[in-house]
Amino acid sequence: MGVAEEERDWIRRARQGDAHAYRHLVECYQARIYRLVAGLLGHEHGNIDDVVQEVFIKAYFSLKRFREEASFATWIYRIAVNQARDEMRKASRHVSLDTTLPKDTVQALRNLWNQAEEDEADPAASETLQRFVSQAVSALPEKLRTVVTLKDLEGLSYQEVGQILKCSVGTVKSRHSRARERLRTLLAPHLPELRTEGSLS
Amino acid sequence: MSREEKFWKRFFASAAKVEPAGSLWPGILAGIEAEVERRESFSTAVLWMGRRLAPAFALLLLAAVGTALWGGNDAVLLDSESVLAGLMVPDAILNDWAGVPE
Repeated sequence: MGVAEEERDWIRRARQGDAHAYRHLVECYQARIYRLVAGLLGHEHGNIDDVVQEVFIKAYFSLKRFREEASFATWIYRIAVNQARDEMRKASRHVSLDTTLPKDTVQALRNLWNQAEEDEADPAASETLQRFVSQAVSALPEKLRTVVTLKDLEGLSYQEVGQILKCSVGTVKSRHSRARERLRTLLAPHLPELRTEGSLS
Repeated sequence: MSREEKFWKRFFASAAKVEPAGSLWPGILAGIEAEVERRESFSTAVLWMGRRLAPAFALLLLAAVGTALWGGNDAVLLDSESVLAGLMVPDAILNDWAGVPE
């Protein structure tokens, strides 16, 4: 039995009310959904656990309506994105990013740029850089942040992102490009090569 | 892949890796059970209301049907009066023709 076939079997059993089968699905997806929700709400958000739990509770009661037209991953990602959006509206927070970056963050970005030509494995990112990347993504407007989180942080294809957000691949590409432009504008004062490279590409 | 693409790839790979502290299943199970209970108590309330309201609704329906029927009889009576009034017309013509004063 293949992975997809096996998953379909778990879904079928969960639909029939098998709690063990649903637990299996939750445990397969909880890390991915947690990462996605944290990416959308910002890592500092205090309710990530609650939002993720709500996603799986909603999914359980909607399981009968899951038609298998899309994959289970796409379907549950969609529920997670909608739930995170509801949470964002409730919180109506605005993250502003300080454009004057600490020296060590600038140095870490320069290192990233210099290493970009080399094919060696990604070096472990410093804590300041980790925090900066998360904050930079959090500072993007909601629609752009959603695309960046799904495409760049989760590694999904344009098509998959389009299926999750129920919009065309063209729209996804356009939002992705706008998000990149914003990030480029943010980083360019500290990394002028990025502006040159970006305008060339 | 361009140098910029490689940079962005490494940039996003540098994002903090977050994960839940433990399994979220206990909280999810509790949430599902609470929702099942809420739905069940809601349907019980609807059923209870239905049982209480059904006789009252049936009475109301009977009253409405009765009123409609009563109104219908009135209409029949009115209709027969107009027919009778119509039948009076030939007598009046006959009287007029015979020269009988009214």
